[in-house]
Formats: sequence, C-alpha cells, structure tokens
Amino acid sequence: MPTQNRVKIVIAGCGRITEQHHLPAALRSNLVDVIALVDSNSARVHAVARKYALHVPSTACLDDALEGADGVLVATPNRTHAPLAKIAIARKVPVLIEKPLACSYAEAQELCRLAEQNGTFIAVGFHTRYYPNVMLMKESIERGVLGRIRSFHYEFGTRGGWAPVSGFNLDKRQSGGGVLIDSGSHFIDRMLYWFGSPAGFEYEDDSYGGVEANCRCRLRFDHSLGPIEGTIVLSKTMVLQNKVSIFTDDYTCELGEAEPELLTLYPRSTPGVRMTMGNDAPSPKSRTDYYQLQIEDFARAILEGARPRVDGWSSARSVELIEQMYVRRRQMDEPWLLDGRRLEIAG
Amino acid sequence: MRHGKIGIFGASGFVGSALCERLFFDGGRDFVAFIHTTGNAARIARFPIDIRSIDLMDAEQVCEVISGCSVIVNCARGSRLAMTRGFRNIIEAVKRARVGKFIHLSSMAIYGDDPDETSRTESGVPIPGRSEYGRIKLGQDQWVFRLQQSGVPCYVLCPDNIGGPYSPFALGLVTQLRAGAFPLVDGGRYPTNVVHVDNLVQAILAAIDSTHGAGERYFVNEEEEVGWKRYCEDLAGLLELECTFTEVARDDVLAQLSRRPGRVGLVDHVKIALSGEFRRGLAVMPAFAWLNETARWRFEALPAKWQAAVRERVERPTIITKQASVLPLDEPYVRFQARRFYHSPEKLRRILGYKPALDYSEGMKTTAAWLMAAGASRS
Repeated sequence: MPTQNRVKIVIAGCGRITEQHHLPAALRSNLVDVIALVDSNSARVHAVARKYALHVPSTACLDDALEGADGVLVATPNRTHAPLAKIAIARKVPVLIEKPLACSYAEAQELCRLAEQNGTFIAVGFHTRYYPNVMLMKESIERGVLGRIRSFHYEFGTRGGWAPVSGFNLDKRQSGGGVLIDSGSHFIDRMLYWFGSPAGFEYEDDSYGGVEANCRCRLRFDHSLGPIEGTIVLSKTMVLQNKVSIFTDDYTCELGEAEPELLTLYPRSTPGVRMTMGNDAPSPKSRTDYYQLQIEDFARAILEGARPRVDGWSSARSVELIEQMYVRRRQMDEPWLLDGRRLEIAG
Repeated sequence: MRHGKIGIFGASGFVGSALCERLFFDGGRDFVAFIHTTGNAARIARFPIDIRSIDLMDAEQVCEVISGCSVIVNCARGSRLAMTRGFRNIIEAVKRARVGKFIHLSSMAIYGDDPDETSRTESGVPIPGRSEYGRIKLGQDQWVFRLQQSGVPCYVLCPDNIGGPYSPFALGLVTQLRAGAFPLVDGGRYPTNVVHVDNLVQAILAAIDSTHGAGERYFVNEEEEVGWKRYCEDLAGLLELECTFTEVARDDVLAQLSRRPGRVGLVDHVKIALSGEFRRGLAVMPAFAWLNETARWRFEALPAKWQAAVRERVERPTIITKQASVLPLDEPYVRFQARRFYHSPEKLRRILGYKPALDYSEGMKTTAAWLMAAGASRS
C-alpha cells in the first residue's frame, strides 16, 4: 500500500512518449515517485534515465520491478499492452495503460475482468480527456445549454507524425492499425464520452495490407435527446483542420486540438459573431501538463480508492468500436491513383 | 521478377513514396524502401512491403543494406550533411557492392534561378549560381558521373517542379492562389516545367528497365509546354477557386534576385555584441553574468548625458517594413516564373523509351482530386 501521500510507480517502456511526456509528468508530480524503469532496450533505459538524472533500478523484466510498486505505467508498443498489464494485475498492482488499452476487444475485456478478480483497477492514457473544453462540452451536452445537437464533424490530419523509437507504428502486428487506432482513438474515446455508442457506422480506409494512413467514418447515434450524425476524417499524409465542429440548433461549437481550454461558439442567430467559453480554473500550459493531470488522477485513484477518470471498461468500448471499424472496413476511393489502363503502359 | 531487388533511398519522401506505391500496384518487382524516420512513412506503410530505417551518416549500415540490391534509386533529400556526406556513403556502398545500376534524382536547380537558352536540352552547362540546393545537387551529379566511370551504370534524372497527388508544390501553389492576387510574371507566359509525379516515376522505371543510355543526364518534363497562367487557371478551375492575378515584370524579379543581402561589418558585430539580447543569452554562463552585471553597474554610474551618447552610438535602428500585399518577388512561386525556357524530355523519350503515364490534362485532374481530398479547395 502507498505510504503517506505519494505512490511508487514503475514505468514499463522507455520510448519517445515516456521520454517526452510520461516521465517528465511523473517526475514533477508531488503525488508520484518513479521507482524503476523497464524496457528490453537497455541502452534506451539508460539514455532516458541519464536525461532526467534519474537514479532508479532498471530491468528488462516487469515482474522483477514490481516489488514495492503501487502502480505501473505501461507505455510500450500497442501489442504488448495486454501481456504486460496482465503481469501487474496478477500481482494486484493497478495499471495505467497508454492508449489503446489493447489491440482487440476480447483482450480488453479479459484485462478488465482480470483486474476485477484481483481487486485492482485499470486506467487508460487518454490525456485529451483532461482538456478543459472536453469536460465543458460534456457538461454542456448534459445540461442542454447549447441546444439540440444535430451533427458533428471531426478531422485531424498531419503530414507525418509521431515516430516511436521502436518503429512499431509501421508494423500492423505491433500497432494493431494505423491512423485510426493511433491519433483517432483519442477522438473515438471523447466521442463515446459525449454521445455514447453509435447505433451504426460506415468506415473506409486506405490500407492495402499495411497500416492505414487515411480513414473516413460516418456514424449515427440514437441519443436520448434525438438522433445525431457524425463524420470523422483522419490523415497522416495531409494537414487537416484539426478540430471538432458540433452543430446544434442554436450554435456551431468548435473545439480545436491546439486550444484545449476553449470552446468556441458561433450563434446561428447572429452570423459573424464568435463567442468563447472557458472555465475559471487555471489551464495547463503544455501537453506534458495534461499527462501530469492523468498520472495524478491515477495516483489519486490508488491513494483514495477512487475510480480513475478513464477506466478499463470505458476504454474497452473504444477498442470494441475500433475493432468493428476494421472488421467492416471498405477500401477508400483514391481517384488520383493511376488506373488499370495506364498501368498497362508501364507493364 | 524483373531485375533483382530495387533499393529506394528516400522512400518516404514525395517521389520515393510515389515510386513505392507504383511498384506495389504494378507488382512483379522486388524492392526495399529505405527511410530516415518512421514518422514520415505513413503513405508507404499502407503496403505490406519491406521498409527499413537507416541512417545515411552510418557508412557501415548503408553498405549493409545495399548488399543484395541490384538497382539503387536515390530520391533522398535532407540536411546539407545528409545530401553530401550521407550521399557519398551511398555512392561508396554502391561501388563496393558492385550494384548493377544507380539511378539518381537530380534537379533543374543545378541550372540556377535564371537558366539560359542552352538549358532547353541537356547539352547546356549547369551553373547553379547562388542556389545552395542547386550547388549541392550539382555536386551529387558529379559524384554520380564518377561512379559511372568506375563501372556502375548510372542515370541522372532531372525534374524541375513536381506536381501531382501529395505534391507540396501543388499544395503551396493553391494556398497562394487562394491568398489573394497572385503575381504573374510577364503575364504568366513562361513554362512551368512542372512534371507530374507519376510521369517522373515512369521515367525512373524507364531508367530501371533500360539496357543502354547510362552515364547521361535526362530532363524529365511534361510533353506539353504549359505556361504559368494556364497552369494556375486550370488548377483553379478544377478546384472551383476564384483567383485573381497581378502583373509582375520579369526584370523586377531578376533585380530582386540579384540584390545581395546587406553586409554585416565590424561595427555591426560590435553593436550586436553590446545588445541586450546577446548579453542576456551569454548571461547563462555565471562568469559572463558577473561581468555583464559589473559592466551594467559601471555604465549606470556614468552621467546621464554620457549614457545617452553611448546609447546613440551602439543602438541599432528598428527597421519597420511595409506589410506585403502580394508575394515578395524572391518567393519561390514568383522566382520560378522568371525561368523562360522549357526543358525538353526529348532525350529521355529517344534514348530510354520514356512514355508518360498521364498527359497534362489527366495529370491536372489527379492533382486536383488529391488537393480536394486534402481540403485545399475549402475556405
């Protein structure tokens, strides 16, 4: 059990996300002590430890590092999330798993049940859930202050993207997919949080056996306040608008990825007017601040026995939806590709 | 399988990705994609192909990955160091592994900002002028021709601007067309020399398949000479964009290009050294922070009129320039338009049997289709 008001955390995985966000967030938190680093790449462990002048034991085996741990943070390639989490859960140690919780719904369910059986819990690393505008939107939907929601459109696209040290993002077996499971899973989580599970969807992507770089999805929700339609466009080859627009009877509401503290409203009754909503609490300033909120939420769940903001079962829903999308995928049309006739010229 | 394995350097870049995509869809050829970082490889990671991350600066690693390849295609770009030392590592590895063929992507930048009439064909002598990129690419070409002399058949392909799906050039042009009055140099009558990426890939395939014509430079261009005005109007039309133009004289662009950056003399260096920004930067070193503090204390102890006199001598004026209402004349999209000559692909067609995959209008349609998907036509 944790002593005083701090929890002892083991970090499994010393890749780029740990180096840039998880570890700095944990090191500056007054609720967390990092007691060990785990990674199969010992050079990588030492480089990360050296960067932050961190003198803690390191090992390639998670089981060896669990003695005295109050919690484990798993930030490894997607495919290894479940096997590593099981090791901690079997020792009744709570785990914070970087998204996605697992690569399959069956695996996600198994993890959640195992945690229940062992009297411990799972939290999942969807740091965007800590964005003030995400919480504000949830409250606004529940209170109905924005009018009836008709539809939404989300798009997120960058040219290039995150480059994990291990390069697992290029390997479908290791990553479980491409842009949908990577950057898209953040929005899928938020969407389920706001609107619940969709009643139906159509999904298409541009994978030809590897990991998709672009995908599009149309969804329908039977929300208690009325039907909602939504579209999602994700890309790793094109810069897109990187925001969600939510269309209600009274407003167009925008939540930009680059402005996580603001909810921008365009009233339908007064074209040309823009209003912003925020809350009184001081906003975090950097992405690492949100990782700190996340690990502190995990630490509080350990210390106080509270439920983490994003728990295993709620994340299992996003794993399930993503899995269904991949199962029911259609090939995305790319009208710019050379057609068969033209390929014959080359042949 | 035709040939042995094709190794592609710079496979996650714009041209390298298009080549991998084409090889995957065509089938029948064994190839491996060499990339610098996985972060930019999303387009080719869609295919179940062999992708390897390599560091061009690691000569041993380059040698290792090249062994087993019978054709190397170099589409790599990057930092100056990657394009010089990294490039030489490729050349040395190709030589050592006795690779069957080396195809190198050069650039029309080797002819500088204002190529003369001799650049209509490959017989013109490349003079990159002040273009650093042009000088680096010309240096690379020279290494390739030396490699040819050592017995490795080499092909140097020379495109100018490259259009088509995923083209940063096309995306940038649409952004400029949407931004307001787009400057057209001399009415936009000079050729764009924009080659569609699928036609450039076709040229690479022609070089891979050719049994002759090694040791030569080949211009890669559209078969149809298209002026800037037509190109811009066609693109805007396909994207249903309203665009306006403003007239710019070629002589004004050339005058702007020939203007040398202001020289920084000794007095300017002293003024910079005494500036607050510079001293604050150095103050991270404790010894300098102490010196700085002492100097400041002594300066503040001087009579006000002496302080004012010193300030007058060392303070640099704040230059405020007018906001630009149109693109500056030295911006690439203006600069490119000052090039007067069409660089003919006739030699490529005659010797390597090149046939474009798409004609101009087909190519523009595919470019526009991709630009629309990329949101370039949205306000």
